[in-house]
Amino acid sequence: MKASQKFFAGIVIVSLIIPNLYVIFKGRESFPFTQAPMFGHYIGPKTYFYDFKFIGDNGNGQKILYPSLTYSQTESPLYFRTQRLFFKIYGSAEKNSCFGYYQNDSRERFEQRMSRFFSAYFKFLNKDTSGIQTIRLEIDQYNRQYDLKDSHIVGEYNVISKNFISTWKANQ
Amino acid sequence: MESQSIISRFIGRLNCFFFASTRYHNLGLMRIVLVAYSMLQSFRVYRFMQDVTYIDKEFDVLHTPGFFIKFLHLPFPLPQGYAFSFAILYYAIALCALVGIFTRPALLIFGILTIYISDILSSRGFFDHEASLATQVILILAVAPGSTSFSLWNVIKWFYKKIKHKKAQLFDALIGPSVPVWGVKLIIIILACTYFTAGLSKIRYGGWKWLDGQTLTHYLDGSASPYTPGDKPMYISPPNVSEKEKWKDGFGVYSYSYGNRQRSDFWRELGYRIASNKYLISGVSVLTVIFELSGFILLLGGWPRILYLLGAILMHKSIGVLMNLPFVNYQIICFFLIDWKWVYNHSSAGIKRRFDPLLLNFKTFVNKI
Repeated sequence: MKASQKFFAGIVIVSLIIPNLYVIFKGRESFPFTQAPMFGHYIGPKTYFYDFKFIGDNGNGQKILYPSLTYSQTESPLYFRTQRLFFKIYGSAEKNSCFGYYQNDSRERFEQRMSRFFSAYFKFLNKDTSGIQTIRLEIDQYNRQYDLKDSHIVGEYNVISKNFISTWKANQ
Repeated sequence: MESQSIISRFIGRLNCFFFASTRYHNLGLMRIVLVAYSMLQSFRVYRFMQDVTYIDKEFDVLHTPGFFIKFLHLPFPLPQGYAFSFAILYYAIALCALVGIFTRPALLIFGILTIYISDILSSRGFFDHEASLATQVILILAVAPGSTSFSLWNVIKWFYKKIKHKKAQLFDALIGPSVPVWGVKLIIIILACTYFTAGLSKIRYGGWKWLDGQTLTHYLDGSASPYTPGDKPMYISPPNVSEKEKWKDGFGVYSYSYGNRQRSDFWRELGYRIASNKYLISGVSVLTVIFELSGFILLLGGWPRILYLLGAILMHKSIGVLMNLPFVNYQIICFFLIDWKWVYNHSSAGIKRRFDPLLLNFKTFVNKI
């Protein structure tokens, strides 16, 4: 084997091993490199479970809404859309999380991301939801047996002004 | 002096590990099966690529492209008008890589395009862990010596040689000459990293208590199944989230939890039975983590590597039947990394007595073509 062939092989070997090791060390995925975090978080008897809920209000009544998508009919109504919300917009509370991590996140940045999400995913309100003025984001907390324990309002999106205001206060 | 000899011995071993020659490797067969399966998988998920196209300005602005798309300056997402032509080109290239015509460029482009579409989906919140290893292996196959064996190109070359010299033998032409093994070794290293990090992540994110079996119990006892009655909340947090981490919602949501999409009542029942025995489920958890953390056993040759690869296939088969996550791509890679010639050479005299004539007859039959 020629030295130039060995050199080429060396370049290929290093250029694939280094990013794999870097992602393992950093704990942050970048396709196609992964630290394989699937099923890694502990689930035990005291683990809490959560659901995101979007509640539209037209001034006279309230209705549970689903973030709309224009391009795919194959996705289940809420499941994948909240996944997008969590991974790409909402972000994890865990320090150095492998899911939806925002370094130095702040309430302002959170509100900006959420405003963009709501203005895109609730852009196409249909006839059942016309007249909706505000959409409230709530999180329901459940225990391991899925009994509802608590519910918090995260914030409210104003359909007209296209602004999301984070209303949860730490001292609430 | 002594340190110099240690360094030269190390370089010698490294040289031998990556650049020893072999004629009987399975990279050509791995190429055929892996590309065929990846192509079918892409067709099943993406069809004609509508799901990775531009949606509209406001949707797309929410999603930022990954490193790979930025690095190669690829359009993000795929422009809608190009989706159909892109899909046809994509499957045509995959077919070339599969049958082995313009094999290396076809493998390279197929690997890059698969990363491209998976990266678009990943930017929207879906990370395809099955494709992450497969695409890296396809890129390695694009440059690794030996991956063009069992190709149509080799058959065409053999055909012309036979017309000219009348001596060319098809079996030899299909397998090709001896090549350095660095491609096989690189795939083994990437696979070892993948298993190792899967084990590490369970301790890293779940802590040592992951070994108590409660996490696997959740995934096997029906709690994570969309096919059992009741809504299943998918997001989780531990009970001890600090006040500082609760600023967004007063809870502090940590993570997304996965689902168990096994539709079969029989396999779900089996999972439930395993999960209901706390000693068994804890044993399975401990074994899983030990097995995954021992991924670098793959760097050893001989029986340890072969047993590890067989163990990995068994693990994926088990997860496949219990959770409908068979990770077939991983199984294909593991199967073709097994040095079947070595296994045969180390098998009993009885097996050899039975199979030697069969193999010889097969070789003679192919060479007679």
